[in-house]
Amino acid sequence: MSDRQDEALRRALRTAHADDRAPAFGATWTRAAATAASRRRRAALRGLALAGGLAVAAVAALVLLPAGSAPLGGPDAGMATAAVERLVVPDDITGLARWSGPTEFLLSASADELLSGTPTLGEVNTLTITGIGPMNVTSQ
Amino acid sequence: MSVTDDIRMRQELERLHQASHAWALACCGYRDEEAADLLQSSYEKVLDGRARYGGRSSIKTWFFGVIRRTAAGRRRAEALRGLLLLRAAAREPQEPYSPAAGSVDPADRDLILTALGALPRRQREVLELAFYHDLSLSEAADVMGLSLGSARTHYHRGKQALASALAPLREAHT
Repeated sequence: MSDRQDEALRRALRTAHADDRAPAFGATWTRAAATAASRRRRAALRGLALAGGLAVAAVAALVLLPAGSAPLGGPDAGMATAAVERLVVPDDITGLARWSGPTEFLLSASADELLSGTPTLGEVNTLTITGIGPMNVTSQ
Repeated sequence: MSVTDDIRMRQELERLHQASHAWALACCGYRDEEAADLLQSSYEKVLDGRARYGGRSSIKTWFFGVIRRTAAGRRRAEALRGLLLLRAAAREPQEPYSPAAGSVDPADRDLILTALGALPRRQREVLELAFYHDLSLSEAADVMGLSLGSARTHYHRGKQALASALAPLREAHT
């Protein structure tokens, strides 16, 4: 009885799957490989972005820590301080300004305002910290 | 895995492809498109190393487990989406089964699939593994991540439930 029942169930399951249409293995495998590769690329990019973000944060900290207590140099720059927004490559470096915080950095500036008595609040000046790399700073 | 292992794994999975697809169908309520997608996701797990064969069972048993866990993960994600969207039912209603292509009586097939679909998931799965994929109860328990005792209980209950659900079919053929 049990054997007959088992055989009936086996037949029923075979009937249920009689018209299964599996997609071609090669195509499915190739798509899976492409998706897996794309996932690996995304993971690598995320890693790079994280490393880049950490590098920017480190440079920003380097600039911002002394900025809290130090004036930005220049003929009439007053007490403006600088905050790093993003890294850029300045294409017009026309002069020099000196950082007078606890640690001295040599800065070069592309904005005339920096050298001629500004920056003022809200202005964006492109600066280069010698030895570290170019960056964009916003005066506050 | 070495390159040789990779090639061997690919060959094994290619050999199992048809059976894996049938198992994927059972794991996702016999929906064709979903099964194809589920199978591809399972291959992705093998390819990117999220699923690794440890040699503790046959490749078939191991890969069926990968398919089942992938299906379970999708069900959880779907349920969560349903919850987040405040849907009353997380699962969409089953699509009609694709019509039979002539090798079996479509009415018989529909009756069987409906009966299988009405079984609790674990009962359906253990019956699929035992009666269609010819796995032993111990292998089926491995695939399903259950103890042998639990698998046996689901097996016996499933058999009884399916046999009574298919009684009209048997009578029609006698």
